[in-house]
Parts: sequence; structure tokens; C-alpha cells
Amino acid sequence: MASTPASKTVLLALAFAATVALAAESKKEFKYTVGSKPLVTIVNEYGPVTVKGVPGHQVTITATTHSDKVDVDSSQAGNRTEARTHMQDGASPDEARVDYEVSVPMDASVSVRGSTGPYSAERLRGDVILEGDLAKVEVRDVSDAHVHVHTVDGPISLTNVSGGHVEITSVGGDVELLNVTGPKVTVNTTNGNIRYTGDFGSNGDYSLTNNFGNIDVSLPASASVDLTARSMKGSAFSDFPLEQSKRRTTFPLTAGKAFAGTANSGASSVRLRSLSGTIRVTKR
Amino acid sequence: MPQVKKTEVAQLSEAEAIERAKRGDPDAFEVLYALHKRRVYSLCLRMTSNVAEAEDLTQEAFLQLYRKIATFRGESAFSTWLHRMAVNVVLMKLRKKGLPEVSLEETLEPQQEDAPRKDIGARDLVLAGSIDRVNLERAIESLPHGYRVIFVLHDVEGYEHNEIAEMMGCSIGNSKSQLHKARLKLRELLRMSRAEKASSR
Amino acid sequence: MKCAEFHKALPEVLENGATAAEAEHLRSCRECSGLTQDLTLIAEQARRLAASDEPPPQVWQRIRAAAEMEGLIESARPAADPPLVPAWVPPAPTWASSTLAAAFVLVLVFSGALLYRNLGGHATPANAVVADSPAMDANDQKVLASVADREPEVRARYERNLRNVNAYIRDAKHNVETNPDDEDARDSLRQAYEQKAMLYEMAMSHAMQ
Repeated sequence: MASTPASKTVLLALAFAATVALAAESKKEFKYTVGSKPLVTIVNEYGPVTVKGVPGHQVTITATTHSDKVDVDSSQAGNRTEARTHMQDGASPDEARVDYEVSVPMDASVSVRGSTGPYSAERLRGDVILEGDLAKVEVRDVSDAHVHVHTVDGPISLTNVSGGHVEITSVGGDVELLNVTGPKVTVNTTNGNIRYTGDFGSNGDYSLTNNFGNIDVSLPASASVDLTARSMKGSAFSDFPLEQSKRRTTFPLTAGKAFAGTANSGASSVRLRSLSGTIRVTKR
Repeated sequence: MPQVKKTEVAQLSEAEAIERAKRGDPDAFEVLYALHKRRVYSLCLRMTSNVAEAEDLTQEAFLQLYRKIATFRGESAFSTWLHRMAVNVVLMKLRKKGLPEVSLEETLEPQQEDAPRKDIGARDLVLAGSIDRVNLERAIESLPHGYRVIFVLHDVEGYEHNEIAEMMGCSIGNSKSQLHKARLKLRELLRMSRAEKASSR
Repeated sequence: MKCAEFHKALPEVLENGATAAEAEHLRSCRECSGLTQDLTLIAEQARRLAASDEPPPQVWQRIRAAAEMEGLIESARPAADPPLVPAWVPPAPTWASSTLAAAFVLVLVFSGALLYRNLGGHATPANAVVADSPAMDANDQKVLASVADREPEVRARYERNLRNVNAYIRDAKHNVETNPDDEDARDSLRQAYEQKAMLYEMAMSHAMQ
């Protein structure tokens, strides 16, 4: 069902799966024409949300429901579009599940909130915010934009993200970063493992911290880093060649628990901290 | 001969498509894309080992083609012109990512760590029968970036060392050295892969 | 000719063929012969990879759309005027869900901050919101109650992670008590409270939806 593009007017497109006689799969499509840097919000408690950036000025939201106990409403207000899932009372997670496939202009800012996911976002140059309790989250090929991901327990992976602030928070989810660079990258978990593979770009500020679990960093010999690593009650090891930093650390460099140094002029600041986990830095 | 006829038709179609594309004919654009998409995409994929990037680079290469097609005068074959454009698009992207290309200090002298390994006691010294497309693609993906670029340009895409040197801004000796190292590394990877398969049986 | 000498010449052998001495060495040395065969085979097989992959259909669709946008080819429809819109600022993910949730979290963080400042040899304030053990306090119970009507797996994961966060806070507090001048210890406690704040906020935001 295509909506009529209109500026500064609110279009409400209600799609009730109840209109479908059988409780079978039902697909609804919403299309909106938008201007530059639109905002797209998807709120979906149960079910996957996939967002892809494509050339052009159109937002296309395809929502597939699996029962008549759930409906989807979608609207556009100026340059903001939204799709929201509404569950009827008593709907089970399977009945309440809606699968979203969303294509947006590459400069769109995207916000996805829900519970079980999974969520994925790729090929974007606008800000990305993904929040899900248990959702598996994947972000790929995002440049020059901020990326914020929050899960309680869902695993998170970022691949080829650059140029913006990255903030990843999960209590128990493992976090994997592959080729992620930016002016500020922060990852904080309680007991999720953190793995970083890449070169830390240049002139960035990176902080990877957890309570326990592993922090594994794998970087090439060409990486330019000013790196400090410390596990207060756990252990910290490195086989990556570091030169002694001119700056003194505020903590003792106890062998097996902390190390610090620079490589290749130390362009990016890298701070690895664990309360009682294991930190490993290896050369790729 | 059918082959000649097919070639003639293809050439005519391409020549016609080029002229029409210069005037903005969308069908002509599509013909040129259909004729050359595999070569361009395969190049992008081999150089980046990343499907999403390869798709983006393919898109960019063809868009550049369409932007510049009015300047094509036929001094070289169209496919050569397009392909060189695609290579430049990929190399620019790799440079932007800051990936190391060819080491300027390399010479033809193989360094100690790059010398062919002496597998004492290795039974089969020859890989024949062990190289299928999947194995080779995986091995190429595992190559260090600089080696991969040179290997793809020379052995896969057929560029000569003088052309590679010009594109990469390195010396011919450099190009030859990197290629040799790339092949040695591939051999090592393929042999390891074969050994792993043998031991898992 | 020795093997080391042959290896040095190998790149030229592969490109331009072998000299008489090199050919003689190939005949007599099984290893160098195997190496040469392998490298030749690799180069031959590589050639077959050119133009071996087909891009997915959407690549052309994107190219076409982009070419239309740039005016390189005729467009099927005139481009719509983009509506005038204010710049979009991403909402702060931690604080913006609801007044209740925000207030709840602020109380938590404020109390935690008091605790954080007070630690360093001083007794833990009796009215600290966060208990210094993994046992659930009243606020934790409220948060768990807010997710009580969600599916069992979600409830169980919230409870487990809440316990883990409480353990984090307990361990971090102990660390600060032991090392009051250690900047990393204090920072660790701050991180632990932020983890808890995020967990509270996510639970409450669902409850308010």
C-alpha cells in the first residue's frame, strides 16, 4: 500500500491484519518520498528488522505479520517516518512477531527499538540507534555517522564502520568490532566478551571496558596507537610490539596485569580496562 | 563462423550502445552494463574480498563510466578503458581506507621469511588436483592486502607489470617481487588447506 | 646450479622461461620442479577467475537509480521537491523514554554518584539506593516487576543480567575501597552504575510502551 507523498502533513496508514480472513502471513508495504537526511523509526517488540541504505529519496517499509493478533501502523510527518507494531492482549511472541524489511536513503538516520530482534543496518551515512533486550544486532558499512547500540544480552557486531561516534553498551552480550574506526569509540559490557580487529584508524579515542570476560584486540603492525591495558584482578597480555610511552601511567605496569606503550607515532588513544577479565592484544 | 558472427554482433551492439549512451539512452546504459558487469564485479570482489564493497565499487565504476562516456573516443578498446576505470575506482577506495599497498622497499631478492618453505618429508610436492576455484578464492582472500592487489591485477586480470607499476605508483621490480611473494604465499595456503583436509579424513 | 640460486631466478623463469642451466636444475631437482609447477598452476588457475562472478540484480537497480538522480539518463518521473524539515537530532538513548523512567534512573545514578564520592575509606551511606551485594533491592524488584508480564525468556535474562550488574557494582565498590586513589577503580565503578542505569532504562521504556 503506497502512501501519497506530502510535505508537512501527517499521513496515517493503518494496516490491520484482522482484515485478512485467515491468520496466515500478511505483507504490508509503505512507501514514502522524503527529503535529505530523513528520520526513520521502527518500533517492533518481536521479530527481525533489516534496514538497508539505497540511493534515492524513498523510504520503503515492508512489514510481514504472522497472525491476526498484531497490527502495524505507519505514518509520515514531513521528513520523519515511523512504523510501529501493536500487539493485541494475549498475543504470544510468535503471534506478535512482525518481520520488517526497510530500505531508506543512505543519508537517513535510523532508530530501531524492540526486544528480540534480530536487527541489522547496513550501507548508511546517517546516525544509527539500535536497542533491543536480547536482540542480535549487526551493523555494517556505515560511514560518517554516529552508531549507538544497546542490548541487555544480545550479541552485537559492527563491521566497516567509520567516521562517527560509536557507543556500544551491553550487559551480557558479546561485542565484535571489525574495521571500526572513528573519533570516539566506546564499548562497555558487564560480562560480554569484546573483540576488536582493525587498526584503530588515526586520531581516535577508543575505550573498551568490561567487568569480566575477554577483551581481545588484534591489530596490524602498521597500527598507530597509544595503548594502555589493565585488568585489575584478571590478566593482561600482549605480543604486539609497543615502545615505552613518554607519558607515565597512573597505575603500575605489573607484568601480567597491565601494559602500556605506543606504536607508529601513537595517533589513536586506546584504553582497555577490565575489572577481572582477560585482556589480550595480538599482532595480526 | 558462428564465433566471428557473435563477436561482430557484440561489437556492433557495443559500438551502437556507446553512441546511444553518449546521448543518455537508458537502454544503451543497460547493454553496456550487461556486457561488462561480470568482469568489473569480479575485479572488485577479488580486490576487496567483501561482497558489499564489491557491489558499491561496481556501482561507482559504472556511474563513472556513464559520467565520462562522452569523452570516449575509441583510442583504446572500450573494455580496456572501462576496466582501467574500475581498477582506479577500487585503488582509490583502498587508499582511502589507508590499507598498505606495495612496499616501496621490496626488491626482487626474496626475504628470508618469504623464501619457499622446505617441507622436509612432504610427500606430494605438486598441487595439481588440489586447486579448485573455491580453494583458490579462499586463499586469495587470505592474502595480505598488498599481495592480493598485485596478484589480482596480474594473474587474474592480466595486467603487465609496467601497467601495474603505473597504476600503483611503484617500480616494475616492486610489482614483480610482490607478485612472486603472493604466489609463494598462495602455494603455502593451498598446501595447508590440503593438509588440513587430509588430516580430517 | 643450487636451489637458492634457482629460487632467486624463479620469477624470471616463470615470466620468460628457463635458461639451459635452469632447465637442467629443474630436471634434477624434484623440489624446485614441484615449486615451479605449483606457481605456474596457480597463475593459470587464477586467470579463470576473471569475470567469474555475477553481481546481484539490485546492483543494476541502484546504478540506474543513481544515474537518474544525477541526470545522466532520462528519468521516469520528475524528482519531488524535498519538504522543508528541521535538522534531526538523535534522541539521547539513555534518558528520553519517559518521565518516570528518567526520574527512576536519575535517582539511581545520583545515589550511586553520592556513594562513589563517599567511598574512599568512608562508611557506605545507610540510605544508598544500590545495595552493595548481588541481592536484589527494592528498586531492582520494581524493575523486575516491570518486565513480569513479558515472555519468560526475557524476564529470566533481565534477572540474570541484573544480578551480574549488581555483582559488577559490588566488585567495583570493593576495588575503590581497597584503592581509593586509583582512578581506574573509580572509573570502573562509574561504568558499573552506567550499565545498571541502561538496564533500568531499557526495562522501563518497554513498560511505558
